[in-house]
Amino acid sequence: MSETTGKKSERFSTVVTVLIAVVSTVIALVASQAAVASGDATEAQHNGVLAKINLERVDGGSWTQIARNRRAFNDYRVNRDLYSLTFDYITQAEAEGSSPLGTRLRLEAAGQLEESNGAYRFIDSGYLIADEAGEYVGLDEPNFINDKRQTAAIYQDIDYDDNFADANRFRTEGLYLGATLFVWFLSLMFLTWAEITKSALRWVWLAAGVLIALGLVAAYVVSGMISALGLG
Amino acid sequence: MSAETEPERRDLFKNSVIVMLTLVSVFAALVTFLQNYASLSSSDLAQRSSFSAVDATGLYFRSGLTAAQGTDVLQRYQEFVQRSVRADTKARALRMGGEAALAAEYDLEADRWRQAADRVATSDPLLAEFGQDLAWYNEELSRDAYREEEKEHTLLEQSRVWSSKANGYVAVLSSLSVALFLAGLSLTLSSRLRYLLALSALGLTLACGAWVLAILFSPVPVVPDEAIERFVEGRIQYTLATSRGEDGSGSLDAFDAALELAPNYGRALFYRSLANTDSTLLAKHLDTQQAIDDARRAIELGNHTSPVYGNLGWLYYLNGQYRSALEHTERALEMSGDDCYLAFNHGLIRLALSQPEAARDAYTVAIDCAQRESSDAVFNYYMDVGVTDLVELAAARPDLGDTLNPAIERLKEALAQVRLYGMLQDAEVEAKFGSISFGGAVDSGDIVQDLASEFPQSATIVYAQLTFENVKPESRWLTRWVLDGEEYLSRAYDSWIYGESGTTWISLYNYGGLTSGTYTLDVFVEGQLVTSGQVTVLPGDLPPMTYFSSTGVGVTISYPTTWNVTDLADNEVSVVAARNPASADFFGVTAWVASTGTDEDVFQLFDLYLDALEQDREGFSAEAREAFTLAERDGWLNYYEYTNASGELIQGALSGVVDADSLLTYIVVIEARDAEWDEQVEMFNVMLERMTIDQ
Repeated sequence: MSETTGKKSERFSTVVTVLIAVVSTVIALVASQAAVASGDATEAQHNGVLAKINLERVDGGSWTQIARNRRAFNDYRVNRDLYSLTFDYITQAEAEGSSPLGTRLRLEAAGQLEESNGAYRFIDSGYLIADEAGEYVGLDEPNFINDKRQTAAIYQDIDYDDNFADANRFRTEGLYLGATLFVWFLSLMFLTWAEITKSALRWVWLAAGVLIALGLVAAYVVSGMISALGLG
Repeated sequence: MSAETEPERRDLFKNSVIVMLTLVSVFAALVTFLQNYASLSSSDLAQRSSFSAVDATGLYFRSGLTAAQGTDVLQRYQEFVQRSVRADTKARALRMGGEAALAAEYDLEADRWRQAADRVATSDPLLAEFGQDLAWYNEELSRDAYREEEKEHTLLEQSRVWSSKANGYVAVLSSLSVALFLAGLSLTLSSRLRYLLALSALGLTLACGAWVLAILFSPVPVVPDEAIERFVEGRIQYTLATSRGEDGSGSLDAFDAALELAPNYGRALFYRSLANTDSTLLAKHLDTQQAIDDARRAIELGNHTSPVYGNLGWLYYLNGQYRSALEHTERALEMSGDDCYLAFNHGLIRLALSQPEAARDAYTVAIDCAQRESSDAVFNYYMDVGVTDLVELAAARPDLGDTLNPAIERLKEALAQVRLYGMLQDAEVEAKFGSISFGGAVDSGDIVQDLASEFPQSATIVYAQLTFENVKPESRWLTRWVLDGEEYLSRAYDSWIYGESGTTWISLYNYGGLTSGTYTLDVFVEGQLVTSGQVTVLPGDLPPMTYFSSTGVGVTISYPTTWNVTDLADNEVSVVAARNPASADFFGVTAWVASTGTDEDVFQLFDLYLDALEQDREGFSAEAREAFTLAERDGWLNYYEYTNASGELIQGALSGVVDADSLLTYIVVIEARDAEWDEQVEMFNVMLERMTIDQ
């Protein structure tokens, strides 16, 4: 009887020892995966900031060009306004019988029109916005910026959203693995207690350790499936 | 009995330690999770802070470009306004010569350019919404950038706290590993030492538990968006105030509001401290103690930067706490050795502590810094501000006696040497100068007359008498007039032409009238200060004025510095006019060839002008002409009034005189809105008195 009990006890101890070894190995694996996920999160976020820097660089160049366009457009529009304004006064001067003034103003108006046309040549005319009467009233700056971004995107990463989404995913994964690591340690704790307990209580500890471990494995499988099916 | 009990005890001890080991391991796993969480949070916040920094940089860039565009439009607007003014001035001048038809054409021109200006005025927010206030416009454009910059700072601050938590957890983990080691070691021993080791392990674990709780519940500073909004508003108000030369007290309410929402908002504390910082010792009026408390709190909250320490050093100086001032200024200097203002403050504080040797070394560093790091203009600024601070310290601390004079002379001479030679250059000078006396006139023997140390606001010239000996002809010398701490006039000369010994004079003039204030005159020979003196122009009702000499018209007129001048001479008319851009104030002078050389010429031109006004303007009436002295000649004056195109009642006066030498008739037209006429009359009289005929 005592020999049988001794053998049973030895077998129990062997099984628990094996389980402790397995759980310890899993802990090491999970810890390494958690560290990798944390590292990936940091790297993805860093890449996101780099993409933002690229974007600002591209936008900076675009805004400089917009400033040039605005300047040329202002020259164009003001001189055009002056031209029409001067023409009103030509009419008025000539109506009041001042032909010399009318002549001088006509010359001036011609100059204003020339300057307006000259300024127009420096505008990226594809981005001009016209009103209902066909008069240009401004520049389509949002589209200008977008077009420049589209061109730049061929050569460099300027979209940071995906990087930050990745960073969030990796961070969540790292924290999730870190949390399960804690639970693995609980399992290890119960298995260790099972190993050192001589009474029937050892079965309770064994059951607790094994159930926790199985629960974790089930959780990994379910989350893996959710992730694989793209539901997460 | 005892032999059986011992193994049982050992088993109990062993099992207890193993249980403890497992519990410590689980606890360590929990701490590892917390450390990982803190570390990830810190990294996340740091990267988000970097993102905001990049975003803020882009926003600053964009606001700069938009502001530049606004400046372009403003420039164009002012050009159109000036064209309108020029045409209007010419129209008025032509009317004086009876050229009513031609004047009407220029009226049309003035109207055209005014309309063009009005159209431009609506095309940019700088003109349409910000009243041409470029500083205000710039600040409003920068609002988004400021907001993003604040996010950058607050996120970084949070990142620091999370990083500190992560580091704390790492330290806990290290301690737990020691606990595990001790517990494990206890299992290998059979002596009673094992109990001690096990208990040590248990104690260390319990301490780690308390430590983790402390870390876990230590707060992470959160600054609500509303607090950031308030701070940004305060920052804008503070920057605007300083750009206008005012103190920052107007921004205090906004900073108070920000701090009410986030009491541990370090940057708001720093900025409130700045807003409560006086720039000068003698004019101290802000809450210095509050500023000190805020700066100290900002440092406690982790804002260990050179601006905070530097400003705190200055605040302690203002408060007379020189030891603390020195400590904090030196701390700031350690961080930012190239920030020259700190080096100057360092020297100043050393002198306040009666440490002249250390102060000399500090000023050597300061002057070197200013020369190395600054443009000539900023170098001059540093020297002048340095002198002003020293002069104020001397006034506030009479007990320091003459100990400040060497430093004052040194700063002045450094400026003079750089001005004369382009570098610091010490030289032995044998020349001796006596003290300077000031006067309002000079006689034929070059002796200054009407000696005084104070002059009325009407003064246009002040003479300074110099007495000297042993001055070599090849000496390079420089005179420098400083008005209330800022350079007013400086002249450098390559040689001395007044003999080895004797007297001579130099003068300070402004035909528009000397600006009120206290002038310090310094005379340098070979970069060494040889004499110095002070003279005061008393305040009065007149605004700061300047002058303009028109070669076309042949007169010099004086006018307020805020007015604009139009000077034109062509085959139709010669006119010079000064006008207030903010009102209808007008002061114009025309010159006409006299036909008789008598007063009849004046009367004829008066009549032509008044007739033209009567014809063109509503509500015209004129008084009888009266005798009047103009440009020190006997002339005439004729008041009139009319209603302009805008429906405003305009008061005016014509003044005229014939210059017998040149056979030219000069006509002056003065106009102002009826409501402003009385308050402007005194200034118009001064402008008439100061007008001179040059040809």
